[in-house]
This record gives sequence, structure tokens and C-alpha cells, in this order.
Amino acid sequence: MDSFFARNRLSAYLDRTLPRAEAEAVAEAIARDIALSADVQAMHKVLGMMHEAGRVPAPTGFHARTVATIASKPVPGSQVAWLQRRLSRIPTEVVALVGAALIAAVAWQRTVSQETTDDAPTPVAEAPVAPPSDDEVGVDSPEVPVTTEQNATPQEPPSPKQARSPTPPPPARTVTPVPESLPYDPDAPLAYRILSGGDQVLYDIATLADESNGRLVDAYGKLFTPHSLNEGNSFASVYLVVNEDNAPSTHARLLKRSGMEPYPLEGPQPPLNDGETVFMIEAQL
Amino acid sequence: MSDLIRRFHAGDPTAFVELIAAEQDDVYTLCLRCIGTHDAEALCERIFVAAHQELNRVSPDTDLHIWLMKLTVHLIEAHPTTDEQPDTTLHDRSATTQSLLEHLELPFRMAVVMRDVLRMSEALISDILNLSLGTTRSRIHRGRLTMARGLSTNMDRA
Repeated sequence: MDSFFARNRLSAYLDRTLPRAEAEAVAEAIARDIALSADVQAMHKVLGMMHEAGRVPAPTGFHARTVATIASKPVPGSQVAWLQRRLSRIPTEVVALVGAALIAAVAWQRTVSQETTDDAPTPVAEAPVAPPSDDEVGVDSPEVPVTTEQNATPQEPPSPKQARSPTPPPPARTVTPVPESLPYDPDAPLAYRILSGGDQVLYDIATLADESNGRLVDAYGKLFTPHSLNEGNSFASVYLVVNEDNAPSTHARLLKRSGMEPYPLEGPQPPLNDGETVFMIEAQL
Repeated sequence: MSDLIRRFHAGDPTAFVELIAAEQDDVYTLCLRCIGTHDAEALCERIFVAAHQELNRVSPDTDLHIWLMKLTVHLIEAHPTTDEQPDTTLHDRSATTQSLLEHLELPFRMAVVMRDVLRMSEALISDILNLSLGTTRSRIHRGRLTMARGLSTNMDRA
């Protein structure tokens, strides 16, 4: 075998994938040709260096960073991703125009509403539906609908604007509004509900936990990995463990995120270290 | 691996986390050796994000390793080339290896890295690069020979 053909077989020769007869012919050519021999030695050395280099482990934290990046993006195939894809096709100018039209419509509606209020008959006694006093509401006017909010504050007289307004009072709400300043009691752990939190709600809670220097765990104290909720898996309950120093601010943030009155935490609780407190969160898609 | 695809399709969020753990070293090594240290991590992350977006369309019978490597090759080829100097934080032999690799054109570099660093078979490489087996062997051989001559030249200079 001449040097040209032997050189073309050097890789296979070094990989030991040549048939025996062909490998012997290449070996003879290498022994005859000094340049070919030098190429073999250099290639052998390069192969050694490449094998030595080997796989390089991904940088520390790469896995966690990538998982977090992926978690921050909408789940493929989800309604959010579907909506994003479609919204991205709408020209920005159209979005701006629609937005401006909406703002104008809201402003116009408020103006009209204000004018209607100003034009309404002013004497309190003539107002057909608004009760002038609590006594009349409770006894003399039973047909007037009474909301839970009115029941909750029976001592407060209606404001002049309420009394003058001809619009009927809002329908009774089943959810009790919660003031953000509801005090935090360290001796009474609470559970919070987040309804209609969306498919990424657990990641929102994980962010809240990070910002509170806390950790998300299950009932046994095992670290909880956030995941997307979907129709088949639309509910999750998780415990947020934070330092007692951060508990009031965490309580306030959970109240704000939940928008509902928390309830006393009963049943199993994860193990806590000294100086820690726990909140339970029930999140729904 | 096909089980991972099925679990991903079923909405199991841990499936992709396991995929990253299983494949991150191969993907990172290929990126590092082909485009250098500067952009390797960012590109690697982009590859996994793209994989996450595309995996819903992949049949459960697909070989996930080959599919991910094909995606990696595609995004490496699309990555803008830079004249990066060899990383001086690498120890000498690793820096020399990287320097020799950077003298190869990208198609040869990818073939050589898959064969000699990731130790893939020629058949697997030809499948990933969508080339015939003969072309794949030729690329590996020419890449190795170019690196060998580069090494000889460096040694002569020294």
C-alpha cells in the first residue's frame, strides 16, 4: 500500500477498525515512510489529548438556573403560551389603538356616571331605595336588599353620597374582603387560599418564599419543587416556612396575594427549627 | 428516554428536569469545544429552553439523545462565530486541545469532538449530523489530521 492510501486510513488504523490485512499493509507503509510515521505519532498524541480532555461537567448551578429559566416561560401548549403566540402576531399599533380606545371608553363612562349622579334628586327623604337610617332599613323597609357588608357595620350611617345615589347597592358577596393590615398573630398559624392563581401560581409562591428567605416544604418537611398546574393537576397545598422575623411581612404578602380571609391552620404541620414559623397555602389553577 | 417524553407529554414537570440532568454535560461539552468558553453556558441554556418548547411535538418513539444532539448541532451552527482566544484559565493541555480544535472549521470540529471527546460511534455521529457514514469518517479523519499537523507545527516552533 502506498503512502497516499495509507494516510487516508490512519484514523481507522488508530481506531483499530481496519480489517487485519489492511491494518498490516498500513503498518508496513508507516514503517517505510518517515512523514507518515510522524503523522501517526502526532495523530496518536492528539487522540490522547482529546480523550484526556473528555466531557466537561456543566458549570455549578447550571441545572438550577436552566430549570428556573424554563419555569419563568409559559408551559408549551398551555393557554398562556397559546395566548402569547397569538398576541405576538398582533401589530403593536393595533394593541396601542385598542388600549387607547379602552381608556377613552372608561373615562367617558365615568364622566357620564358622574353627571347622572349630580343630576339625581337631592332630597334624602325622596330617595326611593336608599335608606335614610338604620332603623328604617331593618324594620320599615324589609324589601330593601341588605348586603353582608351592611350587616357587618350596622352602626355606620350611610354616607351622603350613598344616600343620594339612585343606583341599587351592590349584590351580597360570599367572599369576605380582607384588609391588608389584618394583624399577624404568631401563636395562631394560618392557612391561605389562592383561587384562580393560574398555571404558574406555584412558581409565584416559590418566588415569594425566596424573597422572604423562606422555604417551601410538604407536610413532612421535604423540600417542595414548584411545577405548573393544569386541568389534570389543578390543586396543590404547600407549607411556607420562614423566620419569625419575616413572618409579619410574609403574612401581609400572602394576604394580598390570596385576597381572602385566611383560616386557622389545623392538622399536620412540617417540622420547624427554633425561631421558625409556618404558613400553609392552598393554590388552585 | 422515551419514557421521559411520555411523562413530559402527560404533564409531569420532573421529566424535563431529569432530561437536563442526564444530558447537560454532553450538550455543554459540545458547545464548549465548538464555540469556546465565553458563550457556551448561555448557548447551552438556550438549547434546553428550545428543547422544552419543542418537546411537545416530538413522538414518544424518538431517540431523545439523538434529537437533543441534533438540536444542539443546529443551534451551534446558527451561533455567530467569534475570534475567541483560548481560555487561559484552562490548564496547558486543555488549552492546547481547545486551540487546536479552534483551527478546524466547524463541521470538522463537531465531528471530531463527538468522536474523540464524547466517544460517540461513527454511525451515531452520521445520524446526528445527517451525513453518510463515509462523509462522517472523512470529516473525522481530516479533522484529526489537521489537528495532528497543527500540533507538530506548534512543537517545531517550541
